[in-house]
Amino acid sequence: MNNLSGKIKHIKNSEYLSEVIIELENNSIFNVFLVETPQTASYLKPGQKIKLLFKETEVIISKHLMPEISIRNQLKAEIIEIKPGKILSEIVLKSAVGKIKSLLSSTVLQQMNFSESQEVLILVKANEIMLSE
Amino acid sequence: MIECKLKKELSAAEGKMILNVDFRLNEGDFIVLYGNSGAGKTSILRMLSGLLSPEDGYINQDSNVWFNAEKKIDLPIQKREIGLVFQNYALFPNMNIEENIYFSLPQKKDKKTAEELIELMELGNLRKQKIQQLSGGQQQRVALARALARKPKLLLLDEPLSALDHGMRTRLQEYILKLHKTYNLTTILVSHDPAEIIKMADKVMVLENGKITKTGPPISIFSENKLSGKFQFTGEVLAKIDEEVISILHILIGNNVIKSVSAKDEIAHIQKGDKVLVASKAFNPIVTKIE
Repeated sequence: MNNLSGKIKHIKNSEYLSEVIIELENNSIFNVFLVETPQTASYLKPGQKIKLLFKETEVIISKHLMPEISIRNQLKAEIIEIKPGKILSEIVLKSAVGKIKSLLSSTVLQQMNFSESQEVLILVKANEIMLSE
Repeated sequence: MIECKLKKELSAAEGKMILNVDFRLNEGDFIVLYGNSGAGKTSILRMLSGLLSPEDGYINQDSNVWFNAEKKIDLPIQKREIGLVFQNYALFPNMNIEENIYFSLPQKKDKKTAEELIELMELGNLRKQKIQQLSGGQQQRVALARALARKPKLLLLDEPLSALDHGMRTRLQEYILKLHKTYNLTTILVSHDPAEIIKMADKVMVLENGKITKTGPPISIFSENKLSGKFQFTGEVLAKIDEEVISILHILIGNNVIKSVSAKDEIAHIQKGDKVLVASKAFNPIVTKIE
């Protein structure tokens, strides 16, 4: 599981849902959707330190550093290791906020021609991130 | 309400240990005592029931004093309003089901209670059967009915389901919850099974080396950090299959076996038999109606 640290900047909520805007250590902004509100979860308050947890399988990698795409959670990272497998492969990346791993199709790994020390953009959908105190 | 403070030196496998606990239970509470073998769980049940005397402390049930070291009060088991069920059934093997239950009635004429329990535990068709002809699950249903024949306030269950297979356990859990609710009991269950604990308990008390180290609702006790994931279950790892960069876990959750894929080194420390928390976001599951 990927684990990044951040601080809650702002919370936008409806009756049952919240969009939590979190500032990571390098000042980049991540958005997270939760079925919680500040009324139901005590940790949902501005200034709260929080961990962002997401699975390796939810990390999307783009070679374009400025893609026109509906995923807002984006981080620049460098590929530091590629572990190829038959069906799935693992890419280990280094970003300004820590190490991130991605599990992706081995076919895609070949087609995209990823290589170590390449600079890429990683993307994570807001509904795939869990928060933990 | 049960209020107690219990202190006693016990000899455990690793040597001597001081049991020192202090807790309060409200009417209708369903509490689980959770902890390693030798942590003192059974000793607490034995002290509450009067089978073992604490060296110091007290046990008060509302205004009744069951035990008080200073005042030298120590009521015997039959004067405390408790029902007890252990892992071994301790039924009279030469009697049939109804004789076993009737034997425990405080007044032999209180047939109404006995009949109500026979009906609640669905033992009507079996009532004339001898104990040795019954399955483990049926014997535990008789043991539960018998424990409640005395109309206890406090029901003490020391791993009553651990000898039963999974399907039988699930059914017995339902019977226990039904009894707990019907008679508004205060129930203390000793259990090692997180899935069972989450299903049954309002509150868990974690016991380590004779002390209560954690108290809280089951889900917060069994998830180390408070996760925002809404899709949380505890289960037991039945198998772990390693692929090149991933591992697949087969996890038993309730009656279902689920599979989960993780990066191999992420779960390198998880082994077959481990209890695990499985969490996902509320956004991920697909729900379809069963026609």
